[in-house]
Amino acid sequence: MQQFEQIYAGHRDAVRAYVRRRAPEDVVDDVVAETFVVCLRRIQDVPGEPLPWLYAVARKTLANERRKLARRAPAYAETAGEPEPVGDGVLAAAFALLSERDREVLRLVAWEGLSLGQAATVLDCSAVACRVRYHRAKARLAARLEAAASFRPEPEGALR
Amino acid sequence: MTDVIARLAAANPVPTGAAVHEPARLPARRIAVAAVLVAAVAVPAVAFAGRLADALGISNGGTTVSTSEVLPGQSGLDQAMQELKVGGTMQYLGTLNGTSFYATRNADGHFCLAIDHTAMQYDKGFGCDLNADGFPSSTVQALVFPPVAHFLQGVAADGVATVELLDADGNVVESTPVTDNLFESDAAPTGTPASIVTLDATGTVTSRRPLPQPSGS
Repeated sequence: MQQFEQIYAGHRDAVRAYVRRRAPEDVVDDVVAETFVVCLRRIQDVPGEPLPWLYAVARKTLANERRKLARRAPAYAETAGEPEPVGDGVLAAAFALLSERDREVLRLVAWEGLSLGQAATVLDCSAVACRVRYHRAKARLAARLEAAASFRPEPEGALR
Repeated sequence: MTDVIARLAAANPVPTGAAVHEPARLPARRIAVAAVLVAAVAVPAVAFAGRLADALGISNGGTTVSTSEVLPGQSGLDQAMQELKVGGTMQYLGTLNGTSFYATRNADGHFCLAIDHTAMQYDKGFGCDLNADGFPSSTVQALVFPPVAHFLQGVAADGVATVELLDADGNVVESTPVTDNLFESDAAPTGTPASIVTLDATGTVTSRRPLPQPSGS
Protein backbone atom coordinates (compact mmCIF):
# COMPACT_ATOMS: atom_id res chain seq x y z
CA MET A 1 0.00 0.00 0.00
CA GLN A 2 2.89 2.27 0.74
CA GLN A 3 4.06 1.84 -2.83
CA PHE A 4 0.65 2.78 -4.22
CA GLU A 5 0.48 5.87 -2.05
CA GLN A 6 3.86 6.97 -3.31
CA ILE A 7 2.84 6.42 -6.91
CA TYR A 8 -0.42 8.27 -6.41
CA ALA A 9 1.17 11.20 -4.63
CA GLY A 10 3.99 11.40 -7.12
CA HIS A 11 2.03 11.14 -10.33
CA ARG A 12 -1.55 12.20 -9.66
CA ASP A 13 -1.07 15.68 -11.08
CA ALA A 14 0.74 14.43 -14.18
CA VAL A 15 -1.93 11.85 -14.92
CA ARG A 16 -4.64 14.43 -14.40
CA ALA A 17 -2.88 16.84 -16.78
CA TYR A 18 -2.50 14.04 -19.35
CA VAL A 19 -6.23 13.34 -19.23
CA ARG A 20 -7.20 17.01 -19.32
CA ARG A 21 -5.21 17.45 -22.52
CA ARG A 22 -7.31 14.79 -24.18
CA ALA A 23 -10.75 14.76 -22.64
CA PRO A 24 -13.57 17.10 -21.70
CA GLU A 25 -13.46 18.32 -18.13
CA ASP A 26 -16.54 16.39 -17.04
CA VAL A 27 -14.90 13.02 -17.55
CA VAL A 28 -11.44 13.86 -16.22
CA ASP A 29 -12.08 12.88 -12.62
CA ASP A 30 -13.60 9.55 -13.60
CA VAL A 31 -10.73 8.66 -15.91
CA VAL A 32 -8.07 9.64 -13.39
CA ALA A 33 -9.82 7.67 -10.65
CA GLU A 34 -10.18 4.62 -12.85
CA THR A 35 -6.53 4.84 -13.83
CA PHE A 36 -5.42 4.65 -10.22
CA VAL A 37 -7.91 1.91 -9.43
CA VAL A 38 -6.21 -0.13 -12.14
CA CYS A 39 -2.86 0.84 -10.67
CA LEU A 40 -3.91 -0.39 -7.24
CA ARG A 41 -5.37 -3.59 -8.63
CA ARG A 42 -2.24 -4.31 -10.66
CA ILE A 43 0.32 -2.87 -8.27
CA GLN A 44 2.63 -5.83 -8.89
CA ASP A 45 2.75 -4.96 -12.60
CA VAL A 46 3.71 -1.33 -12.15
CA PRO A 47 7.28 -0.83 -13.39
CA GLY A 48 9.98 1.12 -11.61
CA GLU A 49 9.19 4.09 -13.78
CA PRO A 50 5.43 4.28 -13.26
CA LEU A 51 4.43 7.38 -15.22
CA PRO A 52 4.50 6.00 -18.80
CA TRP A 53 2.67 2.93 -17.54
CA LEU A 54 0.05 5.14 -15.89
CA TYR A 55 -0.35 7.14 -19.08
CA ALA A 56 -0.89 3.89 -20.97
CA VAL A 57 -3.61 2.89 -18.52
CA ALA A 58 -5.18 6.34 -18.74
CA ARG A 59 -5.06 6.15 -22.52
CA LYS A 60 -6.94 2.87 -22.55
CA THR A 61 -9.39 4.16 -19.97
CA LEU A 62 -10.01 7.22 -22.11
CA ALA A 63 -10.61 5.06 -25.15
CA ASN A 64 -13.19 3.10 -23.21
CA GLU A 65 -14.79 6.33 -22.06
CA ARG A 66 -14.98 7.58 -25.62
CA ARG A 67 -16.64 4.37 -26.73
CA LYS A 68 -19.22 4.79 -23.98
CA LEU A 69 -19.83 8.40 -25.03
CA ALA A 70 -20.12 7.38 -28.65
CA ARG A 71 -22.86 4.94 -27.78
CA ARG A 72 -24.74 7.51 -25.73
CA ALA A 73 -24.24 10.62 -27.88
CA PRO A 74 -22.22 10.07 -31.06
CA ALA A 75 -21.91 13.75 -32.02
CA TYR A 76 -20.69 14.64 -28.53
CA ALA A 77 -18.01 11.97 -28.61
CA GLU A 78 -16.69 13.19 -31.94
CA THR A 79 -16.26 16.76 -30.88
CA ALA A 80 -15.70 16.84 -27.16
CA GLY A 81 -12.47 15.11 -26.36
CA GLU A 82 -9.70 16.88 -28.20
CA PRO A 83 -8.28 20.02 -26.65
CA GLU A 84 -6.18 21.51 -29.40
CA PRO A 85 -2.92 23.37 -29.16
CA VAL A 86 -3.86 26.73 -27.67
CA GLY A 87 -2.76 30.21 -28.61
CA ASP A 88 -1.49 29.26 -32.05
CA GLY A 89 -4.25 28.99 -34.61
CA VAL A 90 -2.00 28.02 -37.47
CA LEU A 91 -0.47 25.25 -35.43
CA ALA A 92 -3.89 24.08 -34.24
CA ALA A 93 -5.13 23.88 -37.82
CA ALA A 94 -2.06 21.96 -38.95
CA PHE A 95 -2.25 19.68 -35.92
CA ALA A 96 -5.90 18.91 -36.60
CA LEU A 97 -4.99 17.67 -40.06
CA LEU A 98 -2.77 14.95 -38.65
CA SER A 99 -4.05 11.50 -37.86
CA GLU A 100 -4.75 10.70 -34.22
CA ARG A 101 -1.79 8.33 -34.32
CA ASP A 102 0.51 11.17 -35.34
CA ARG A 103 -0.99 13.62 -32.89
CA GLU A 104 -0.61 11.31 -29.92
CA VAL A 105 3.09 10.63 -30.34
CA LEU A 106 3.72 14.36 -30.75
CA ARG A 107 1.64 15.16 -27.67
CA LEU A 108 3.56 12.66 -25.60
CA VAL A 109 6.87 14.27 -26.49
CA ALA A 110 5.82 17.92 -26.60
CA TRP A 111 3.19 18.05 -23.87
CA GLU A 112 4.05 15.19 -21.52
CA GLY A 113 7.77 15.67 -22.04
CA LEU A 114 8.38 11.96 -22.53
CA SER A 115 11.38 10.43 -24.21
CA LEU A 116 10.64 8.19 -27.18
CA GLY A 117 11.35 5.13 -25.04
CA GLN A 118 8.74 6.27 -22.55
CA ALA A 119 6.31 7.17 -25.33
CA ALA A 120 6.74 3.66 -26.71
CA THR A 121 5.53 2.29 -23.37
CA VAL A 122 2.43 4.46 -23.56
CA LEU A 123 1.74 3.54 -27.16
CA ASP A 124 2.51 -0.13 -26.59
CA CYS A 125 4.97 -0.34 -29.44
CA SER A 126 8.69 -0.88 -29.80
CA ALA A 127 11.10 1.99 -29.29
CA VAL A 128 12.15 1.75 -32.93
CA ALA A 129 8.56 1.87 -34.15
CA CYS A 130 7.91 4.82 -31.88
CA ARG A 131 10.95 6.65 -33.19
CA VAL A 132 9.82 6.15 -36.78
CA ARG A 133 6.29 7.19 -35.90
CA TYR A 134 7.56 10.29 -34.13
CA HIS A 135 9.85 11.46 -36.93
CA ARG A 136 7.17 10.89 -39.53
CA ALA A 137 4.60 12.72 -37.45
CA LYS A 138 6.95 15.62 -36.85
CA ALA A 139 7.73 15.82 -40.54
CA ARG A 140 4.06 15.75 -41.40
CA LEU A 141 3.34 18.54 -38.94
CA ALA A 142 6.17 20.60 -40.40
CA ALA A 143 4.83 19.93 -43.88
CA ARG A 144 1.33 20.90 -42.81
CA LEU A 145 2.64 24.12 -41.34
CA GLU A 146 4.20 24.76 -44.70
CA ALA A 147 1.05 23.69 -46.51
CA ALA A 148 0.06 27.16 -47.65
CA ALA A 149 3.31 27.35 -49.53
CA SER A 150 3.36 23.73 -50.59
CA PHE A 151 4.55 23.26 -54.10
CA ARG A 152 5.35 26.91 -54.35
CA PRO A 153 8.72 27.07 -52.63
CA GLU A 154 11.31 29.56 -53.66
CA PRO A 155 14.61 27.68 -53.78
CA GLU A 156 15.91 26.61 -57.12
CA GLY A 157 15.17 23.04 -57.99
CA ALA A 158 12.06 22.72 -55.91
CA LEU A 159 8.57 22.14 -57.08
CA ARG A 160 6.31 25.13 -57.39
CA MET B 1 12.24 21.07 -37.32
CA THR B 2 12.96 20.77 -33.62
CA ASP B 3 11.18 24.11 -33.37
CA VAL B 4 8.00 22.41 -34.47
CA ILE B 5 8.04 20.46 -31.23
CA ALA B 6 8.99 23.55 -29.23
CA ARG B 7 6.11 25.38 -30.87
CA LEU B 8 3.74 22.54 -30.04
CA ALA B 9 5.04 22.44 -26.47
CA ALA B 10 4.37 26.17 -26.14
CA ALA B 11 0.76 25.52 -27.18
CA ASN B 12 0.20 22.91 -24.48
CA PRO B 13 -3.39 23.31 -23.30
CA VAL B 14 -2.44 22.13 -19.80
CA PRO B 15 1.14 23.22 -19.24
CA THR B 16 2.98 21.65 -16.34
CA GLY B 17 6.45 22.94 -16.94
CA ALA B 18 7.71 19.49 -17.83
CA ALA B 19 10.81 19.60 -19.95
CA VAL B 20 10.54 18.45 -23.54
CA HIS B 21 12.95 15.64 -24.25
CA GLU B 22 13.62 16.19 -27.90
CA PRO B 23 15.03 12.82 -28.96
CA ALA B 24 18.71 12.86 -29.69
CA ARG B 25 19.72 12.06 -33.19
CA LEU B 26 20.95 8.59 -33.87
CA PRO B 27 24.67 8.27 -34.42
CA ALA B 28 25.64 8.98 -37.99
CA ARG B 29 25.39 5.71 -39.83
CA ARG B 30 27.65 6.39 -42.73
CA ILE B 31 29.81 9.31 -41.93
CA ALA B 32 32.76 7.92 -43.89
CA VAL B 33 30.62 7.61 -46.97
CA ALA B 34 29.29 11.09 -46.47
CA ALA B 35 32.80 12.46 -46.43
CA VAL B 36 33.50 10.74 -49.71
CA LEU B 37 30.36 12.18 -51.16
CA VAL B 38 31.45 15.68 -50.36
CA ALA B 39 34.70 15.11 -52.16
CA ALA B 40 32.95 13.60 -55.13
CA VAL B 41 30.54 16.43 -55.70
CA ALA B 42 32.91 18.16 -58.06
CA VAL B 43 32.90 15.18 -60.42
CA PRO B 44 30.86 16.02 -63.52
CA ALA B 45 27.51 14.32 -63.58
CA VAL B 46 28.29 12.16 -66.57
CA ALA B 47 25.60 9.70 -65.67
CA PHE B 48 23.03 12.21 -66.73
CA ALA B 49 24.47 12.92 -70.13
CA GLY B 50 22.16 10.53 -71.89
CA ARG B 51 18.92 12.42 -71.29
CA LEU B 52 16.14 10.84 -73.20
CA ALA B 53 14.14 12.72 -75.75
CA ASP B 54 10.80 11.31 -74.77
CA ALA B 55 8.08 13.42 -73.23
CA LEU B 56 8.94 12.98 -69.59
CA GLY B 57 12.69 12.77 -70.01
CA ILE B 58 12.96 9.52 -68.08
CA SER B 59 12.91 5.90 -69.19
CA ASN B 60 9.77 5.08 -67.24
CA GLY B 61 7.17 6.33 -69.67
CA GLY B 62 4.33 4.89 -67.61
CA THR B 63 0.86 4.19 -68.83
CA THR B 64 -1.56 6.88 -69.88
CA VAL B 65 -4.46 7.66 -67.56
CA SER B 66 -7.05 10.40 -67.56
CA THR B 67 -6.08 13.32 -65.35
CA SER B 68 -9.55 13.14 -63.83
CA GLU B 69 -8.62 9.73 -62.42
CA VAL B 70 -5.61 11.17 -60.60
CA LEU B 71 -6.24 12.33 -57.03
CA PRO B 72 -10.00 11.94 -57.25
CA GLY B 73 -11.97 14.06 -54.83
CA GLN B 74 -9.08 16.42 -54.09
CA SER B 75 -10.62 19.66 -55.26
CA GLY B 76 -7.70 21.84 -54.19
CA LEU B 77 -5.22 19.70 -56.06
CA ASP B 78 -7.52 19.49 -59.03
CA GLN B 79 -7.62 23.26 -59.13
CA ALA B 80 -3.83 23.38 -58.91
CA MET B 81 -3.61 21.06 -61.90
CA GLN B 82 -5.80 23.38 -63.90
CA GLU B 83 -3.85 26.46 -62.83
CA LEU B 84 -0.64 24.79 -63.83
CA LYS B 85 -2.02 23.86 -67.23
CA VAL B 86 -1.99 20.11 -66.96
CA GLY B 87 -3.61 18.42 -69.94
CA GLY B 88 -6.22 15.73 -70.05
CA THR B 89 -3.87 12.82 -69.43
CA MET B 90 -1.01 11.91 -67.15
CA GLN B 91 1.36 8.98 -67.06
CA TYR B 92 0.98 6.49 -64.22
CA LEU B 93 4.58 5.63 -63.37
CA GLY B 94 3.98 2.99 -60.72
CA THR B 95 3.38 2.43 -57.03
CA LEU B 96 6.00 2.04 -54.31
CA ASN B 97 5.15 1.30 -50.68
CA GLY B 98 1.54 2.24 -51.29
CA THR B 99 2.33 5.56 -52.97
CA SER B 100 1.28 5.95 -56.60
CA PHE B 101 3.19 8.33 -58.85
CA TYR B 102 1.81 10.18 -61.86
CA ALA B 103 3.73 12.54 -64.13
CA THR B 104 3.23 14.70 -67.16
CA ARG B 105 4.54 17.80 -68.83
CA ASN B 106 2.20 20.75 -68.69
CA ALA B 107 1.37 23.10 -71.53
CA ASP B 108 4.56 25.05 -70.85
CA GLY B 109 6.70 21.92 -70.92
CA HIS B 110 7.37 21.77 -67.18
CA PHE B 111 7.62 18.42 -65.44
CA CYS B 112 4.63 17.88 -63.16
CA LEU B 113 4.21 15.16 -60.60
CA ALA B 114 1.27 13.89 -58.58
CA ILE B 115 1.47 11.46 -55.70
CA ASP B 116 -1.33 9.56 -54.10
CA HIS B 117 -0.83 7.41 -51.05
CA THR B 118 -4.04 5.54 -51.57
CA ALA B 119 -4.32 4.25 -48.01
CA MET B 120 -3.67 7.62 -46.39
CA GLN B 121 -5.92 10.61 -46.22
CA TYR B 122 -3.17 13.17 -46.31
CA ASP B 123 -0.21 11.89 -48.28
CA LYS B 124 -1.35 13.33 -51.55
CA GLY B 125 0.03 16.15 -53.61
CA PHE B 126 0.66 17.72 -56.94
CA GLY B 127 3.21 20.17 -58.26
CA CYS B 128 5.22 21.28 -61.26
CA ASP B 129 8.90 22.05 -61.42
CA LEU B 130 8.93 25.52 -62.93
CA ASN B 131 12.66 26.16 -62.71
CA ALA B 132 14.69 26.76 -65.82
CA ASP B 133 16.89 23.79 -65.02
CA GLY B 134 13.89 21.70 -64.05
CA PHE B 135 13.79 17.97 -63.59
CA PRO B 136 15.38 16.01 -65.11
CA SER B 137 18.55 18.01 -65.49
CA SER B 138 22.16 17.68 -64.49
CA THR B 139 21.49 19.64 -61.31
CA VAL B 140 18.05 18.26 -60.50
CA GLN B 141 18.23 14.50 -60.77
CA ALA B 142 15.77 13.73 -58.04
CA LEU B 143 12.49 15.49 -57.51
CA VAL B 144 11.39 15.01 -53.93
CA PHE B 145 7.82 15.37 -52.98
CA PRO B 146 6.65 17.46 -51.27
CA PRO B 147 9.55 19.85 -51.75
CA VAL B 148 9.91 20.40 -48.03
CA ALA B 149 11.75 17.17 -48.21
CA HIS B 150 11.38 15.20 -45.07
CA PHE B 151 9.69 12.50 -47.07
CA LEU B 152 12.15 10.74 -49.29
CA GLN B 153 9.76 10.04 -52.11
CA GLY B 154 9.68 11.21 -55.67
CA VAL B 155 11.05 10.61 -59.10
CA ALA B 156 14.66 10.26 -60.20
CA ALA B 157 16.48 10.73 -63.47
CA ASP B 158 17.83 7.86 -65.48
CA GLY B 159 21.07 6.49 -64.08
CA VAL B 160 20.20 7.33 -60.48
CA ALA B 161 20.33 4.20 -58.34
CA THR B 162 20.08 5.71 -54.86
CA VAL B 163 18.79 8.91 -53.34
CA GLU B 164 20.05 10.06 -49.98
CA LEU B 165 19.30 12.87 -47.58
CA LEU B 166 22.18 14.41 -45.70
CA ASP B 167 22.06 16.58 -42.63
CA ALA B 168 23.91 19.87 -42.32
CA ASP B 169 27.05 18.01 -41.27
CA GLY B 170 26.97 15.72 -44.30
CA ASN B 171 25.76 12.65 -42.45
CA VAL B 172 23.35 10.38 -44.27
CA VAL B 173 20.02 10.62 -42.48
CA GLU B 174 18.01 8.62 -44.98
CA SER B 175 18.73 6.56 -48.04
CA THR B 176 16.52 4.72 -50.46
CA PRO B 177 16.99 2.85 -53.72
CA VAL B 178 15.46 3.94 -57.00
CA THR B 179 13.21 1.56 -58.90
CA ASP B 180 12.02 2.46 -62.39
CA ASN B 181 12.85 6.10 -61.73
CA LEU B 182 10.79 6.10 -58.53
CA PHE B 183 11.79 6.15 -54.89
CA GLU B 184 9.78 6.02 -51.70
CA SER B 185 11.23 5.39 -48.28
CA ASP B 186 9.35 3.79 -45.41
CA ALA B 187 11.86 5.04 -42.89
CA ALA B 188 11.98 8.40 -41.22
CA PRO B 189 15.11 10.53 -41.43
CA THR B 190 17.36 10.02 -38.46
CA GLY B 191 18.22 13.71 -38.45
CA THR B 192 17.17 16.93 -40.10
CA PRO B 193 17.75 16.76 -43.86
CA ALA B 194 19.66 19.68 -45.33
CA SER B 195 20.59 18.41 -48.77
CA ILE B 196 19.80 15.67 -51.22
CA VAL B 197 22.28 13.65 -53.21
CA THR B 198 21.84 11.16 -56.00
CA LEU B 199 24.19 8.28 -56.65
CA ASP B 200 24.60 6.01 -59.61
CA ALA B 201 24.93 2.23 -59.44
CA THR B 202 28.63 2.49 -58.61
CA GLY B 203 27.97 4.76 -55.66
CA THR B 204 29.27 7.84 -57.40
CA VAL B 205 27.48 11.04 -56.54
CA THR B 206 25.78 12.46 -59.60
CA SER B 207 24.13 15.49 -58.06
CA ARG B 208 23.81 17.32 -54.81
CA ARG B 209 21.69 20.28 -53.88
CA PRO B 210 20.37 21.95 -50.73
CA LEU B 211 16.80 21.43 -49.69
CA PRO B 212 14.31 24.13 -48.84
CA GLN B 213 13.56 24.09 -45.15
CA PRO B 214 10.16 24.37 -43.51
CA SER B 215 9.52 27.78 -42.06
CA GLY B 216 9.11 26.17 -38.64
CA SER B 217 12.69 24.93 -38.60
